[in-house]
Amino acid sequence: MNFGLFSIPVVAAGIAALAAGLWLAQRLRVRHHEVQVLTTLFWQDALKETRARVFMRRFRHWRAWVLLVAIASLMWMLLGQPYTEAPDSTRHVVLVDWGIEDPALRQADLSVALDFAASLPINNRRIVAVGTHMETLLGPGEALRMVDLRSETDPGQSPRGLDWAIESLAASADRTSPLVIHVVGDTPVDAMALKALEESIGAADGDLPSLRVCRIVREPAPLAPRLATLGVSDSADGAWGVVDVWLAFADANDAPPITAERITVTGDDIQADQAMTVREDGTFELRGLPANGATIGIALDGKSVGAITLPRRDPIRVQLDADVPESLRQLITLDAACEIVTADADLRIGSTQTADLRLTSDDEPAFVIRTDEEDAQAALTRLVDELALRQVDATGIAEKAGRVVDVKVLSDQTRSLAIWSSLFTPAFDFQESRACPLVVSRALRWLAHRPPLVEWAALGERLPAAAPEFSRVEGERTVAADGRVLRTTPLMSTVETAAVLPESETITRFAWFGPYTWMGLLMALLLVGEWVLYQRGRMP
Amino acid sequence: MIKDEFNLLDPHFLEQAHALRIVARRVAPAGRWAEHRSRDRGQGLEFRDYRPYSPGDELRSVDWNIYRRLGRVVTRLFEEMEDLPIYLLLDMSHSMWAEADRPRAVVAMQAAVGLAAIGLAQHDRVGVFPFGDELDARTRPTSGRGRLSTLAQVLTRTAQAARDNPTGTDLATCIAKFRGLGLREGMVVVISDFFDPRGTDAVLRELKRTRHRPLFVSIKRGEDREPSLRGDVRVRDCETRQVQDVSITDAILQRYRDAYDRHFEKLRGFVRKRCGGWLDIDADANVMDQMATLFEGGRYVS
Repeated sequence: MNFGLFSIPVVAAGIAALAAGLWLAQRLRVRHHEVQVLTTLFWQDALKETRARVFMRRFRHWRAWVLLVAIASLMWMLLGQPYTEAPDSTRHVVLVDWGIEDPALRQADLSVALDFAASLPINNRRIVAVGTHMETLLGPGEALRMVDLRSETDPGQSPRGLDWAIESLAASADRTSPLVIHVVGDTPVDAMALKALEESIGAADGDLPSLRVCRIVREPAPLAPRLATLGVSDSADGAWGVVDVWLAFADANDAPPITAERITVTGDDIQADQAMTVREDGTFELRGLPANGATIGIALDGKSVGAITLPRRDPIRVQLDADVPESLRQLITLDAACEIVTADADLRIGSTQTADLRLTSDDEPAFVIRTDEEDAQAALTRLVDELALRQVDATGIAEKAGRVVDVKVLSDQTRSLAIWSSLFTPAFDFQESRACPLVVSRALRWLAHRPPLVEWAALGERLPAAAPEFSRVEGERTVAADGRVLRTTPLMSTVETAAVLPESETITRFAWFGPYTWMGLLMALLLVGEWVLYQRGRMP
Repeated sequence: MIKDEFNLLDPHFLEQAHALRIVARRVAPAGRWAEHRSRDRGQGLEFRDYRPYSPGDELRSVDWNIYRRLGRVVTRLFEEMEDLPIYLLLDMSHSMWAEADRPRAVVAMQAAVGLAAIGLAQHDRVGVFPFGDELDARTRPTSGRGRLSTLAQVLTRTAQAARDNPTGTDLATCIAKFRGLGLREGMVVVISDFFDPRGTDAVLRELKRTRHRPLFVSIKRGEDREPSLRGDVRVRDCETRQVQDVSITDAILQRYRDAYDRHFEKLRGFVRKRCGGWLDIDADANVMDQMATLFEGGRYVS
């Protein structure tokens, strides 16, 4: 039972019912008429209450009834602990980020949320877990214990962040009363998105500050030296088949500084004497690891703190037809990622219709991109960027060619790219431009399905999970020792600038000497008084 | 001179007492001359024994006939006749005054005066010790027929004070105090309703330590064992003011009677073991008639 489920009139009605019940109980009590005797010695031995209750006799001790009603009412209030609604009708929603993969951290955030919600008006509070979808853990008017009953609730673990949830809550909010959203922990909130949201609501409601987003600052988790950043990048010397791995540690409280000697890297292709170097920014780097898809482990002082899966970087096997221009042939030969073969090629370059990079005559469009995506037009802009076609001096080419340089994107079963063959001849400046090797390089990697190299991932950063450019590395993940998963997707957090949120204001509660404590003390005092009166025969 | 408010010196009552006697088997030595045979051997009239002469014996007690026949000097010993100390412990607690019609305290006083009259007539020493929650030992035992009115006045004065300032009952403590007085061995008469809230065990424990022969005079009424109370009753103890709620049924009444019988049977058992006496006095009946059943014609031997 909790009075949070009852209104004040219902609570008062409960007390009235108790009073009536006690009054009836008093009437049902045995009515003893008092007789003075020489001794009660023998009655004490013979004592036994056997008489049936007598109904409806005159109630003799109304003060005793008042005393019992007071005690019962205090018990009623203590059990229920009614909450008097504040005149402020502000609604509060506490958001718990279920995207945190560590269950212990999620529970810690939930505890913080519960503590905070306890100080909020019971009918205007709500706790929502945000994962793949929003799940209400505590609804308005519900007791905090309801959260325990919903402990099995799982909104799905997803690192989607809270922006969409804030937007959704704001969109569905009742505009008649202000809404305060409290974010538990340090999950970033996009400042730009938040500002846009506040402006849109402000525009709809005039000057009414109907939305406010605050942050409940929780105690930082006790830190042991932990992996904060783990990444992989292209080899600094430009070699195609090798990558550099680098990592950084979060500072631990009162822990000695971490040196390269304390870090060990384990893996099939790791040489025992492979040295860990320290960068200027304090990160550690391990260079020249073969990009063969192997997983390497990171240990600090012999204790595993994380692991990362290296990208697979097999060379692109390219078969060149005889009619391939010499300049293009040289570019491909110089590309470290490519290997010229005569058979079993990944890509074929030539003027035949089956070539992946087809060299066409000038009467066809300058660039024809055949993509395996269904919506080719939607992918146009992205593909132009990805293939670096914006770097091409289209105006110069058009002037020399005497026609428009156009880019055409088509959907097909497989990827292919058609380019004017003449662009790789001295007739155009393209082969001399900086864009030429970039376009060729990008085109070969795109055609061969070689994804851009995953760069790095870090604790506390939210990573886009659903963006299509990252779907290629789905499944590749790095697990840190503290339970969080560092996805080896490029660290391109959608939160470009995290909003600095004001701290949520809590209502100070005197847990030990609140009104209910005094109620309990008063009830105990009345009970003692009743006992004394009973012992003295003053209570019926 | 105090008015005899309780009619203790009623001539008819005292005349009846003259017919009663208390006979002692053999009283303790070192008493005064009286009518009871003593454990002392001295110069009475009735021969009892011989013993060898020792210097200091009176020459008139030497049996010269034996000296002539046997040549041995022996002294004749005679029964010593001495008094029996009678100590009257009179209950003046609130329960003895609680009844408006003929309080038990008055009945107890009449019984005490009757016993005192018997004792004084036999030249015995009689002491009266009223008690409630404390023993009043201000009056020393006395003897002589003329002392009865003095005792009656003492009783009247004490009774008036007890009636106006009722106290509880603590018989065990009072007996302990009485024992501490170090009085000559005699007969202790406890006149009471024996409604001690502390029960009988403590009382009997103290009584066992006394050398006196007990005589319990229980002042009672028929209502004590067969209360007329029925229904839901809150009984309040007149002395302790404690209350007890009780719904009276036949079963409860039977348990009450059982408790009452156990209480008095324990007291009677003690008295029997100490070769003492027990006298029930119905407060609603004639006191002297009831005393006569025990003392008439010297029937009672202490």
